[in-house]
Amino acid sequence: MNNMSPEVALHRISPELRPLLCNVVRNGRVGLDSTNCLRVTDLKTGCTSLTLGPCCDRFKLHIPYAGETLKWDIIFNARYPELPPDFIFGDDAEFLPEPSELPHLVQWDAGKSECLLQLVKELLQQYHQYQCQRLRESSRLLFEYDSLLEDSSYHHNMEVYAGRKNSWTGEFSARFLLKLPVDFSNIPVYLLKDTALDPGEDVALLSVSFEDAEATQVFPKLYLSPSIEHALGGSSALHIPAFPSGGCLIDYVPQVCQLLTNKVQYVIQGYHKRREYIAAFLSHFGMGVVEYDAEGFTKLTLMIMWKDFCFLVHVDLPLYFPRDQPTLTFQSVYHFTNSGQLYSQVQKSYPYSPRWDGNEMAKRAKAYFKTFIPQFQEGAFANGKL
Amino acid sequence: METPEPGPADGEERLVELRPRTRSNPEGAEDRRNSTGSLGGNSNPNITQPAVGSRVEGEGEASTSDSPPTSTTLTVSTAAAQTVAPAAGATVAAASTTVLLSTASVAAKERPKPTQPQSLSTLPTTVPPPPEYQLRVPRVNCPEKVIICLDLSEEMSLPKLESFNGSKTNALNISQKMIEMFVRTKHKIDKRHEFALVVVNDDALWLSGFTSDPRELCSCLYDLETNVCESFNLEDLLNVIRQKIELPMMENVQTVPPPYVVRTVLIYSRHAGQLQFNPSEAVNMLQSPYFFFDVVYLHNGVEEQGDETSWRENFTSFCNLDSKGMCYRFEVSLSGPAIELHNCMAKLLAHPLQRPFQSHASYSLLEGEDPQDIEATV
Repeated sequence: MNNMSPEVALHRISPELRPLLCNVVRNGRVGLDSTNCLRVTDLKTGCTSLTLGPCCDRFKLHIPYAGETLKWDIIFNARYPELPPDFIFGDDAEFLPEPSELPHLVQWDAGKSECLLQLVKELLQQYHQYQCQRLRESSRLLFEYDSLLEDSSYHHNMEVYAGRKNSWTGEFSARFLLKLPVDFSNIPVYLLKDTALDPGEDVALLSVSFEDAEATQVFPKLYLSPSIEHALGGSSALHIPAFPSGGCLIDYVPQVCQLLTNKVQYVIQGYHKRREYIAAFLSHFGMGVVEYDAEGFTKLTLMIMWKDFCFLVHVDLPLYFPRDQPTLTFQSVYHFTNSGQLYSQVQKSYPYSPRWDGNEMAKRAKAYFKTFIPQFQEGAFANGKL
Repeated sequence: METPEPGPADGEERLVELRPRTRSNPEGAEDRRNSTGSLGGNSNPNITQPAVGSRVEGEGEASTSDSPPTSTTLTVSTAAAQTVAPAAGATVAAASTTVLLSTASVAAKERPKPTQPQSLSTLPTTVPPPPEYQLRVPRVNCPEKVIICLDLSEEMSLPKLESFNGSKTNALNISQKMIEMFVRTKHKIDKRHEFALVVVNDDALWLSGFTSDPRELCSCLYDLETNVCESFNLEDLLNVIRQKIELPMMENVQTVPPPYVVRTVLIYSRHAGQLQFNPSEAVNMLQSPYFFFDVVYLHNGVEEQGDETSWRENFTSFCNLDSKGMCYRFEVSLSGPAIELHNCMAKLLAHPLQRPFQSHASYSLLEGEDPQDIEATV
């Protein structure tokens, strides 16, 4: 059975090994990409068919790494469950980790349920080193790596995958996966909570694929954890500049970081500005408030009376307010359109400046309402259905 | 800051700001109380000042457009207290809170002293009954469940309202349009709001809901007929509502917003006789900080004549259901301009947790402006 759920795997594994596997499938985030969990497939047993189950003691572990998925065979012996497992590292026959540098192998303790997970992490670190060594085949890519290594922001937050050299073209490729040092901690909480997925850690990952050793074909891609992506405005938040030809990572990566940081700042600022705006409007129009978004401050509806006529003004505040102007929708409480909808009129361009503070915006809005509402009323009575 | 002011020193009523009793705060532990040490059952209904920044923006005046005749106010509330005296302490609060909302002079004359000891003695617990308090629910725009109750008595189809073009129209016609405007607008503001429609003849009938689709509600709205009805059985209506809703119970009313609030908007027009209402079980619903009972009373404008109950008395009865001072009540003449009715419904759009007290609501665009608009003549 190939694709199996963690529960099935745990059910079939030999009971002595179950805690070790449990720790891996339940807590198993080993690399930079915390949104992808470790998966288990190909659960098998080395025991004879006469052995009463469950007695599986070997499986394939799928590990996301630098945009690839490593498939490592982990082989225990159900008859000697206290022994550490053997590993087969997929197609990477040349990956020979140094056992003495694997503390959880040297001091393997089958009684500690996190032992296997920790060992996998240590192996992954060694794998990373191994991949970085392979970069020596391209001086250009080695240079990229070395320059990143010097920067402490990236040093420990990097995964490198040096692809197989294409034996036909002699081309060598590599991918760098970097965790970006962007601070998301001040993003307003309400923006972060609304995702169906378990968001895990808030993280931004930049993957840069070098399709050739001379770095003429470079493809960067940004990954954001779901809640961050949502908070920054959805998939448009993933737009990053193209990798400049002749450019290098040590210049490009900070550029992307800055772009993201700016977006985060915009969003944080937008939230506080919207809050200020709504506070100011409540203070100017507060006794006529119908409803407002008390969490994200993204909208506000006011009731206004002018010469015994009631009007509603719906204010929609965009994510990148105050750079982006709020939309005003005027609505008559008496009229419908011919198709039975509420009679309303949207105004997107009215006197506005992002440099005004909330108070000034409220005052100017009031002045604008006074000039606009009479003509709105006229229009409603002329074109609307009572 | 809350500072307790013990004693009925000046006879002035003030809305009380106390940390309410909740399941997580059974002792009202953070209250600062007067020397009697009791949290209630106290003959002094006027106690602490409202907290800064709270919703108590004014004094405890009756927040209705008409000041009700004080004697009638008390009659209703005391009657209420007496009928429920054997019941749990909550109803004592209802009675005494109702009294609190009346004007100062009334309270000075007739404090609920006689009723309270009577009720206290029947309480099974040692904890004194909850005092009058104003629960400050956070001002969050949580989803609303709005139950629109439409009176289908004959008065609704009398063509007495004056429409925009001067012709006469009836209240049912206008109500239908207003309700449609109301649900469509609420839906536009927040798609989570839900609506239900109840019509009242001699009994209350739940026609539709809850639904968040305004069209679903509107489809039931236009095939309605009026007929001559008996006096309005408010208790029946409240029971019908009570069976269909479940009010949130929050651990901490003041800090945790509810998942939704329930609001009844009653459009009421019949005049025959007095309101039938016995608080009984519906009182708990009325007292919940998450339940609101808004009323639009369409009256014939006729003042008290002989034995017939005037519309004002009925209106006052409705007002007295509002133990928290948070509900909106409007009275509109059936023979007046239809625009008044439209405007009431528009004012009722406001979210109950975010709208001001009705007496403080003000919508005029020109209010508070200096007279720069007036052209000076030289």
